[in-house]
Amino acid sequence: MQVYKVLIYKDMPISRAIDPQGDLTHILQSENISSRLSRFFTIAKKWKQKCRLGISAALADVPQPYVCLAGRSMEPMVIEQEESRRDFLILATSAVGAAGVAGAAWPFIRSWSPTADVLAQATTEVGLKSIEEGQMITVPWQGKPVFILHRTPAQVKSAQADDKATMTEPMPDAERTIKPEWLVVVALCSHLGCVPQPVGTGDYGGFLCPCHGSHYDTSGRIRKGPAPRNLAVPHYEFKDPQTIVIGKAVA
Amino acid sequence: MFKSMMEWVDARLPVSDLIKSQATEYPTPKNLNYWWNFGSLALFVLIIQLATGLFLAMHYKPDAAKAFDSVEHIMRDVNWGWLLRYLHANGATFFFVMVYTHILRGMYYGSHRKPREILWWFGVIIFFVLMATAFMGYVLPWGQMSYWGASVITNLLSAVPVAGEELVVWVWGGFSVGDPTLNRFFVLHFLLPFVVLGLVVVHLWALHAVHSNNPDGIDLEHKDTIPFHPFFTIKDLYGVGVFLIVFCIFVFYAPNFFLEPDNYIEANPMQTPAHIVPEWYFLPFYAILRSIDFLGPYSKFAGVIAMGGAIAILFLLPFLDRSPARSFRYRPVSRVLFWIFVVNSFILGWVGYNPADATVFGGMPIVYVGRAGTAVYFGYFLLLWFITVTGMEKPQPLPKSL
Repeated sequence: MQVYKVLIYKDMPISRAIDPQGDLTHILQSENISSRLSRFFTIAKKWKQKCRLGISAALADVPQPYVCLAGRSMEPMVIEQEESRRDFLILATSAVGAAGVAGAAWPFIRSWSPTADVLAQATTEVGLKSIEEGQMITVPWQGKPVFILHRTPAQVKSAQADDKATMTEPMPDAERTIKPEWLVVVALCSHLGCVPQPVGTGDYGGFLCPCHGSHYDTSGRIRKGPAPRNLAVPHYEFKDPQTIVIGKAVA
Repeated sequence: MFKSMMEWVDARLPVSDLIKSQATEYPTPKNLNYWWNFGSLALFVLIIQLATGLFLAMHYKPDAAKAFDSVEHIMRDVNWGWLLRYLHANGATFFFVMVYTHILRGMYYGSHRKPREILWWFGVIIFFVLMATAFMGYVLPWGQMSYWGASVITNLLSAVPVAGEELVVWVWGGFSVGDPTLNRFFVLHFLLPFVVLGLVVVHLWALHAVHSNNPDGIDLEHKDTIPFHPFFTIKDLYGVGVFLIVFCIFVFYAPNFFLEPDNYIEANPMQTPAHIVPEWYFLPFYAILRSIDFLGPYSKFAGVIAMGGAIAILFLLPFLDRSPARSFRYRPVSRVLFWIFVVNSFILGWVGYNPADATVFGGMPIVYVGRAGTAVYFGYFLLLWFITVTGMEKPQPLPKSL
């Protein structure tokens, strides 16, 4: 006997729709039959064969999508063409859905980034005239403290002398300053963002971070402790010999 | 009247069935000890936190310029505001007391073992969300500790390779912790407790699917169980009574015991307090973070990984423990390891509380203690796996039933 393969789903009203003794014609006359079975009929008709459906009570236990076979054999089989078509549709629908969700999420994610007014306050102007040699001031820039240290010749000398020393992040002092007597660094420890203590507190004559014990030298370079990097040198320019502008204007 | 009304409801929504099968007649092991009280106590504290938090939110202003003052306004001007705030602040502390005890209970009696893995995982997820919620809640008063605690913790994200710096700026909504950060933390602090509530429902669902473990850690027969009501409703209520006594002592007589004086100084981005300490419940993890300081430029990232791993390793616990016995009651070696682990957690907490460059025992840097404690912390999980997978530990014979 010719074997045909049909996909039937459990939630179809099969028991009512199919007379176990009936043939395919009978099935299609039933009102409850789904389009799935119509497809089956189309295939069956193509092959001009009649099919006796061996549907029995055992159907309830057959895993779905299962197959109804002609004859007595109940071995589950699947129409592969059907499967790959279904897989493709599910995949394509999911992909479009995922892309849509990702696109819709973007404005929400971006809403957390700095706003226009925050970006607008990107620069700070500082007058240096009143800072005596050896003195240090702290100014806010973008909500962060910036140390401006008027270094003494001794501090400059010790920073330059240490250029060759072993360091976590080696960098010559000359690259960290525009004028050697002025050290401008963002006063946030590269470890976890605490504000280091003023110059002279650390082991190398520089800054000590009180939180986790990182020592920075008079050039703001990390010399000891858990911090991975030197104190950052912000972008700054001398507007005139007595004034610096920290930061870059953001459009 | 009530009966016929309930019949009408039950025909439409089977409420009585649910209450009967999941609460009043829910079969509960008859040998549960007092360590099993802490789950219901944690739920009780969650309800306190939700109620007080909701009413605090009606007076609090999530604005960097107003937040600190609005908390003082709650303390001084709002009727009973001081009580709401002290209940909420101390509630956070006791929430962690309950949750830590609850977790350790599970670790000791093997409540994470098959078939309770999913139940355990949801517990660990709740713990994660709870830590995030507590952290963001601590930022809201906008005191010095709030601000600098937030700075230190959000800066951990910068350790993420490649995108770390951008990630931090994104979380901050600026170039440092500021008004946008405070505002979003407030919203999340409001939202997450309800997420926790949903997770608790799943946690209980998973519990009721596999039923409670018990101090003997054996599978029970029906005759070994008793209905939840009245036996455990009354026992849980008794626990609530004891808890409320302790809780009220702190709320009314030592409300600031767990708080840092520095947090009564308004946040100042230009000045770090001399010594930043997180809340006590984060101290052991903070100590683990700081103990990894010997890897040069990799120290920071490694510290973050170690801190996250210290919690994430709990996910693996069901698979690390291979012993045929669940409960440590029948496992002499595991029991010893467990108590070492508990004592070690307190030591790590003490290390976390001290300044990073402190010295102990006449000149030894405290970070050495932290490193040793970190090794012991992870060593516990490793050894537990080792002694059970090799069969080195011979469990004592288990009872067949109670």
